[in-house]
Amino acid sequence: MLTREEATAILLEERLLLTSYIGVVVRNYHLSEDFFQDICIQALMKEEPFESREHLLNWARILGRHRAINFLKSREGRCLHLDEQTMEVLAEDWPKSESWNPVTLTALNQCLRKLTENNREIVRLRYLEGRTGSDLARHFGRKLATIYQAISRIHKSLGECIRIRLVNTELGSHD
Amino acid sequence: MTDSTRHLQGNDEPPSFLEQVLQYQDGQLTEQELEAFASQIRIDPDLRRKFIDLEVQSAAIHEVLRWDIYNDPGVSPDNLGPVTTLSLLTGWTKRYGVAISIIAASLLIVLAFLIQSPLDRGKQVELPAPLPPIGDPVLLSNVFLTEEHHALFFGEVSLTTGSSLQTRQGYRLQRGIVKLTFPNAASAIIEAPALFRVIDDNCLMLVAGSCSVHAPHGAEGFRVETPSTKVIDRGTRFSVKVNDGNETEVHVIEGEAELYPSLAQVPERKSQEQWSDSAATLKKIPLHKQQAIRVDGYREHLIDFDSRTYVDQLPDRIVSYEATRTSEGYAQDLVSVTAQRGGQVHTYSVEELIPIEVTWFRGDTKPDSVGHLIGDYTRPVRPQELLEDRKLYTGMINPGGQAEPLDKDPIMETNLQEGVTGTPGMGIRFRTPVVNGPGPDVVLFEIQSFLHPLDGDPFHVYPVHSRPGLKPLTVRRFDLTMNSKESLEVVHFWRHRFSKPIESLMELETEETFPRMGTYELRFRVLAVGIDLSEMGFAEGEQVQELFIQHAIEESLFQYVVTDPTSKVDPVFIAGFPEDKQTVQKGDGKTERGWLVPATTRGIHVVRNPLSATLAHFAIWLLRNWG
Repeated sequence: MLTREEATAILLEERLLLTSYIGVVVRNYHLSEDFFQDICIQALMKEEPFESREHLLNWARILGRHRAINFLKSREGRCLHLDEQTMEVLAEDWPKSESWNPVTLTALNQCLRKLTENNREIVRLRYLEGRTGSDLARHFGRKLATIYQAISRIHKSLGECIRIRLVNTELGSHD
Repeated sequence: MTDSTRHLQGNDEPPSFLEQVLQYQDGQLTEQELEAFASQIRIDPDLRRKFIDLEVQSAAIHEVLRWDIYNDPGVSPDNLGPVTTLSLLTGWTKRYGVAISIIAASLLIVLAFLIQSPLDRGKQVELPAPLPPIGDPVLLSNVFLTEEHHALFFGEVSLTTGSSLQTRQGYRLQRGIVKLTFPNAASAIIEAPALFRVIDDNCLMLVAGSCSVHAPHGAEGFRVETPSTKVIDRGTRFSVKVNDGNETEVHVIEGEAELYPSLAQVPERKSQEQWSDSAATLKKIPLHKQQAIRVDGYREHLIDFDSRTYVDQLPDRIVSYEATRTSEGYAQDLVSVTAQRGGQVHTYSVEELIPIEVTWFRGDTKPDSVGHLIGDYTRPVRPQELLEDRKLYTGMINPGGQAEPLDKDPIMETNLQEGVTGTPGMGIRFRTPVVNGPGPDVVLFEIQSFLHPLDGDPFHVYPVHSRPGLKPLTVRRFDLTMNSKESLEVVHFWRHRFSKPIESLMELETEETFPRMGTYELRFRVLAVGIDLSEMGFAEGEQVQELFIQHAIEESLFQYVVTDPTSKVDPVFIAGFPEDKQTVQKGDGKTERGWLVPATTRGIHVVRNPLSATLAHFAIWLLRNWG
């Protein structure tokens, strides 16, 4: 059984991964964070303790997912998102906190700074302002497919950059 | 190499899948595409891994970008952790121990991304510059929506006060009432439900619904077309009503108008010019003051004139308000309120309004997870100040209540020894009595986000001491709603939550609080509503010193989660309107200085000195009591 202290500490560790999971449904990072905060409060107020870390995270994912779906339904009447079955399959494979720790985030931060000015602007508009591919296509005067290809390339290059930085960090730590 | 980065590094995967993921993020996939996309994810573990990696990396990018925006070394990944933030929350550990502190720490970390320093209350969050709007060219007319009340347009089209109408656009007014003003000073008040279009700067097409037209001197020739008629103004006020069957009624209130019925006689309408030529050959029916006609497609016949079909103004209401702004444009302190009272529009500086003091506060029986106080990070010694001040980002929120209004006087004390339990809700006392005049007498502002009712949170207002004829008033729709352009976005604020139900003002002062700040995308707006004391049964001219306020939702339905469509009222400023007023803006746009006194009928009078005002009040009192 997890104590309240342990449960809340786990939720804190898993914040990015839980918000990203909820984000698959709600597709808005700010809203995902609000749902995450509600999950934290619910966890705190829950009378029955969680049996394990896995139990807690499963509970949090299901709660976040359902709230996100209810929210979308109440605001928009319908929502086109991945179905329940797919979300469950995804939940089983969703990564653990150790794969996105502060070191990885630092590496990502450094890699973002290495992007060209144009690519940084694309990333900023998409992931900070929440602009869609169509918005970007109009803004830059490019075809939508070109924009999606550009974003795909940015993700790949960031993935590669992070990998190299983490390897270098590991090597550095062994030196 | 971590799992999460492995699949995004190479060039060997089919780019189309990543692009599909991006399309999914944008909500671009059709139902059929989404089904196929989901199936791929379920079946193919490799694609599933790629999807997860891209989703997590996207969220991580969002997070890292926010570090840059807020440039806070205190929340860089190198020093993320609860230890630093726990020190801010020592008081909380008394009740819930480390658990609360860790939650608090997590929330503070989230908040720390949003602000430069949690304790630096002076700084506002700097938002990224918005992307310039990109869209199709529009054909704007010189016709403007100059006033609206609870207007809601169906579909994607939306107009707010000050909007220019497009000439090729059909507007479907689903709810409320709007006033259009044309370049020649003609105006049309249109009531929902209505479908209308602006043909040109001198012509309105009313396809369905009702409108009331005023064409002052100089606007003669203004036209209203309907599917079966054309009404040309000759210096008048008239109303036009078109029902679903294209049957049209016209009532002339004053002046003259010309009616051209049976548009079906026009063989084909290809252009405005052709229409004008054709119309000239049609039968013209002159209409005079207090005449009415109905055109049903086959024939025209005179009907009984009904002056009630004409609406000369929008309802009394809070029209707008002004507030000081941050450099980013977010509202801070109230400066003035503009209200229509008795058909007259007045602007009151905040200094002219009658301030309140909070005399009682009690929440519902369960702790309110959103909290009861909003304002700065530090709670003031006297929390009532949060509602009594002129700041629009401070207030006392979520007073207790229930769906149906109470059927007895509220009790504003608790004495357990005598078995007296105070009523959930909030009591207020005006520093000087509010004199019930025409239209709204009290203004209440609340903060609201788009996650909650766009019309504002429903609430009950009660007289503190009941008597025959007095009754509670339930407000279900604010005058300035989330859809109103006049509702300003407010600066960020902290919400103070409590771990136990709040049962008194004293507990608001003494119970430990847990401050939290919302995410910046959920910008809160300040809504406003006027409370007409006459609707509670108070006589015009009667003085009112105290009121009691409760939320008006079913508590059992209320949850604190953001998904809940209901929420409790969140007042940030309440004040009374003064009886007297120095400057009055009249309907014709001119202003007049004087004192306002209520009239015995609808409307108000303006007199030029206080002695006259006193005498007028006395005369009205005599009329009411001996008349």
